[in-house]
Amino acid sequence: MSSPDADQPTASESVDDGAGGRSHRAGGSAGLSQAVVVYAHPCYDSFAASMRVAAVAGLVRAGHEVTVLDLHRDGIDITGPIPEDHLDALATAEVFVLVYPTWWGGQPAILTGWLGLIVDLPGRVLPRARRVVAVTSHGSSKLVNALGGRPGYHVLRRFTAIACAPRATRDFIGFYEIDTAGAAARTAFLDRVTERLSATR
Amino acid sequence: MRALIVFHGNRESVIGGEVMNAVTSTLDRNGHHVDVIDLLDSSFEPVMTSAERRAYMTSDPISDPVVQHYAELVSQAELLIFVYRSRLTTMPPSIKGWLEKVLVPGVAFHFDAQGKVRPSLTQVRRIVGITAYNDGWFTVRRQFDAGRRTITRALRLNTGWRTRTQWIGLYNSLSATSEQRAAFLSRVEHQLEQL
Repeated sequence: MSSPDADQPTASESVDDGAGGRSHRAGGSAGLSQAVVVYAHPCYDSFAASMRVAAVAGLVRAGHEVTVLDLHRDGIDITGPIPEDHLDALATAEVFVLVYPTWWGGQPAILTGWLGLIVDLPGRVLPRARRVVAVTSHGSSKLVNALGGRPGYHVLRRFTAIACAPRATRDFIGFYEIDTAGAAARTAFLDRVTERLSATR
Repeated sequence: MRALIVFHGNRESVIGGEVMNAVTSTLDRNGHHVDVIDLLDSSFEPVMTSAERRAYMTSDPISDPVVQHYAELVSQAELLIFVYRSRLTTMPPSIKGWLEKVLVPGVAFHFDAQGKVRPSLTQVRRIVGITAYNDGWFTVRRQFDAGRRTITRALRLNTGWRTRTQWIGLYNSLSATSEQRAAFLSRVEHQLEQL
């Protein structure tokens, strides 16, 4: 594990993710386990941005050092290559969290491309990732998503088997019917995201 | 019928070369009108921008003339054909982005008075997927084939349940012998002859 700078902010000071900054680190003092959050929504006032803040807050509360990889901000080219700093962060990640909106049943094109580039690389790019969590919103209901076949879930399953630690476990935290959901349902979901991730060891 | 082929592939590959030739020539021979969208050869940008995302829920979701052209083609198509090589059990990001940007509200679906999503592509009579896999048939099924699910299930929710779907796969494509490839091509031709 890399030893973080002594100057880095402590976990309690860096809960504020801001959901709009550059890919950056939050949390961090010596010996913390590494968590990587990959974020794939073009707008920073979206519900996905709130999910990102909730996820980072939970991970920091759990005592992880968190690195956010923001695919739009980093200008990812879906034809490659993956930026070196992404690969460096993924190499040490023990917890891997994906925050994205579900479009047409699965990950947005930018994330589909990024995941595809990673599995095309030789070997396991996230060899230490023992926990993989998806945090995602859906326009349609859980039933309609089941009828649609949940392709995004199955892509993630396959990605975990190819790129993450051999016995990595998965968690899928989904929000449904976002277009008609009220403020209370949204807040309750965001609280659930923070709570679930704060229990990630 | 009016056929629209959405294709991502290298013209030197099996999928881009032999398969695309078989598909277009079979459709031509049977008197179908064929439009081809070659995503590697298009100025289409698959990644959704923040401006496009903001426009998505408005009454005017499309600003790019390339996307507008594709939306017109898909609104007329009675036969939708997707041709690609599978990766990570799914379609290339170019095709995923094509679904996201072209099949927007007003093109693929609309909202009824109760705010429920209703299909708009009801003129589509058939959806066909043609793809090459690195893995064998059993492995592909065990991995749940997300690309096939996206096209034959998620997309079909927007064409209506009367739309029939067909899936034609070349399995273990990297080690396929010339006989296996020929058998696959004749299956593609045979299936498209039946339309």
